[in-house]
Amino acid sequence: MKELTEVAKMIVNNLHLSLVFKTISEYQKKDAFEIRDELGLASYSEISTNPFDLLETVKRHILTRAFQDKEKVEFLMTVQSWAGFKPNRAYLETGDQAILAGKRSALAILWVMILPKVAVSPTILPSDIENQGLVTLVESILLSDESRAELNQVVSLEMINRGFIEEYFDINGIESGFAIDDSMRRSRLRTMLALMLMKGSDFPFNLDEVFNLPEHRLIEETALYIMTKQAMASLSYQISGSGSSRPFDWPLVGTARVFSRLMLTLDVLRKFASKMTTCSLFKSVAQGSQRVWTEWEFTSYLIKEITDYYASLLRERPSKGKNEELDAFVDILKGENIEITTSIMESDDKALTIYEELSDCKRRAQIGEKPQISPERRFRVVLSNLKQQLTEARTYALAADELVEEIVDAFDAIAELIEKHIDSLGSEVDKFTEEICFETSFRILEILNLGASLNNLPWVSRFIAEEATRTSIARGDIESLEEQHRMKRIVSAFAGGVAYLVLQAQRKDLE
Amino acid sequence: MSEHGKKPLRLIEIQESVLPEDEWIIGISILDYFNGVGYSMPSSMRLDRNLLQDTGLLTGGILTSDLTASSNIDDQLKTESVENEEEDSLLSGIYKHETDPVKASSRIENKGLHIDFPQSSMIIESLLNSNETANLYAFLPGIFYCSGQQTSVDAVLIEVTQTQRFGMTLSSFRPEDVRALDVSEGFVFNEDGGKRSVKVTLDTLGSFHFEDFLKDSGLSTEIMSYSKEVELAKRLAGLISFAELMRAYASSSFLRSRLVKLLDDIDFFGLAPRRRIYVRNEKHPYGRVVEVNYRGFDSVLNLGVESGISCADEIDLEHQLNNLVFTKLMGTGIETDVEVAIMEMFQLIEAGFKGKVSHREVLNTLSRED
Repeated sequence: MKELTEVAKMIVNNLHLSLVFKTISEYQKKDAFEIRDELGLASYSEISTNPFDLLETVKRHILTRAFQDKEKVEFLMTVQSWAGFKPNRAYLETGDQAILAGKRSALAILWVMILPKVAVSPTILPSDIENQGLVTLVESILLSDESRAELNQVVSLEMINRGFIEEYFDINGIESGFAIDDSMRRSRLRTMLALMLMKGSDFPFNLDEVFNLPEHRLIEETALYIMTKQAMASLSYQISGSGSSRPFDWPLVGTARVFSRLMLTLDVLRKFASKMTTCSLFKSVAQGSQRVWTEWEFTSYLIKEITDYYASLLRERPSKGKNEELDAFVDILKGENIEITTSIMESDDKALTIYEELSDCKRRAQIGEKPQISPERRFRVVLSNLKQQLTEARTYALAADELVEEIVDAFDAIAELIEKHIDSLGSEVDKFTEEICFETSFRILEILNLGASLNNLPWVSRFIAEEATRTSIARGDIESLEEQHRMKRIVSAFAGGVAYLVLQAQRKDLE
Repeated sequence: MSEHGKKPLRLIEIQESVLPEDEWIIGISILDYFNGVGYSMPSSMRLDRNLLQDTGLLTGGILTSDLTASSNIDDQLKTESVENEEEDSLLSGIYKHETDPVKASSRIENKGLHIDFPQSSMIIESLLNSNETANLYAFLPGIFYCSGQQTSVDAVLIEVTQTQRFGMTLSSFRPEDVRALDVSEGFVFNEDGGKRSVKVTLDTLGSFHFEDFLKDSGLSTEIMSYSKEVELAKRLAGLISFAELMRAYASSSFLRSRLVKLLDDIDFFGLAPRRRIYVRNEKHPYGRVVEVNYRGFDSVLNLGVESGISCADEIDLEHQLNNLVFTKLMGTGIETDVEVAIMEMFQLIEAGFKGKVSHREVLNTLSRED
């Protein structure tokens, strides 16, 4: 176990990796006058403005500058009141006091938020993550005012040693402008700081469960969030590679050595992730009860991460035609995730088996083979993929193109599924198609918190289909609306409607 | 009905398919009447008969469903059923068959030798029995124009049935397919590509086109990576917000062609009942316009006492429709039936338009902002 001073060294060492630190450094130098100027707050408005509103404005401004993530900023703006802190109006007398309190509070939050990222060096071996003194760090943040004071002192000293003259480390300011009853202060402050560290690790958490954890479990749990984040970062770093070593740069499909490293990292990730009790990301719900992912599911997750990396390559490469092989490869990986995972789990040399499976998929992609799965299975696979992607989309901002791709995938799978059963559906094809499209759309919209816009889906879909058809007719692309294409056209219409509603909502969020 | 509340007359569109060539129904109704679409409640008679079937295994005792129809004079429950009738001072003098305890018995008990006069034909009886279970209807009274039959109707009645296919529930009716259109404002693109809101009038109807700006955007079939609908949706999402899309729809040429049909119809036939309703049920899965008569409405003229809808062509449908009971939510919530609802809706619509039925005036009333 490392000492606090060593942890502090590591933190200061990695500060240059964090973009958020640039914001911290920028605002630490700014005084109330400069911030007032930046926000366009004239001093005469002070009489009319409540000092606490001023504090919130400044805080929101700095947090938004640092994160550009609405959801995260919203969380950080409200977490104090969740924990029971109330605005301390007596303390804020003048506008300048409010501005400085807002700044202090925002900067303390930013410091806490970057700790999960900078506390461990990115070059550390995944198996070493747990020996980096993260528990010590979390302990000193959560435990008491004294432990926090010590941390402040140790890190600030280290910063001075490393030549950060104008910046300083301060997390005590987190309460700035807020007050809470003394009897609750210690435990609530502890929970609030833990929540911020968890948020900084980018994992979803169950608020109620976090609030109910006893002190030692809370420290352990928070440290696990950070370690899991580090293990995941290491995993994606190994997949994407850097510089001249990019093991998955198509048409490369890794090597046995790369995979054995990845499997080791995956084991580390699994070790941390399966100990977390308040995070839902690594749990699956079966028959109403939650259970932690098994090794099989983690392996499937690794394949999915690799697939996603190839899919992102596909998007980055411009002209569509040239990448048919990569396109087919991604399709096979997506469609046969379960088969690949099963075959890996059954073998003794897992790393070698992944390599062989991927090489096989590549060979099949190059001769233009399609994934060998039944439409039903594909539909299920696509839906679960979609669900996972969209759930992540709420945590990370997913690019519009990626979203559209997922939506189109889901609807393509519907078309395939129906195509196969078209004879047995008989005259009910239309109705069945509409119903399954409607239901799938509902799931998509609901995952994205857009369930309320379902009412508008039918007319938006039809309007888009009408305009699209008219455009095609006007251009002479199609001469008549043929009966046998009805099913596909229904599917496309719904896909269009969902795509519009989702993208429009996303756009509105950005504004 | 409140004259000063929010706009009571709404333009309603029912589209059950997303394909452009498929059927649509457009019309004018007052959604406050049922607070949306009305759904039929099973009538109490019906409930009793179902109970009888369900408890068929029980023997002994008195079957409750028989009690109201009992001819036993000493039976307590019988008198209760008469008292339960709602008291209407205007109707107090009217003799009602259904409430007469003697007549209400479904069986005629004769003793000794007699000639049996059939009360009702066996065919009709068996039809009625077969109709027992299917009785949930979605109902929207108002003036509607149906694209399939190219004619106007007084109400839309859709039987709600559900079937299972491959684990999916296929429902014959989806509430999301019915929507009230806001035509107070339209949306157009200027010559220079700018966006602009316009008031919807006969002149601005149909002035919105997507092609105007898609033509120059280089959207060709070769570079489309997805279906043209998704490609279009992607572009739209970047250009037009949802609120704007709603307004764009109000001024789209598709809506125009539909609305004009409806306006033509109202201009020609006025606001009088059409004596036709659109019905879709198991017997007419693709929907059918049925000729009907309103007995209650007609009896005002010939001083009769009959009420209820009559369909000369389909006796079983007539029976089915007359059995439907809906809960009216406008004003004080009371029970109503198909005929009464249609008649009341006509009065409300007439009051809303104040007899003005020209294209311009109808559109003005619908698009008025208040």
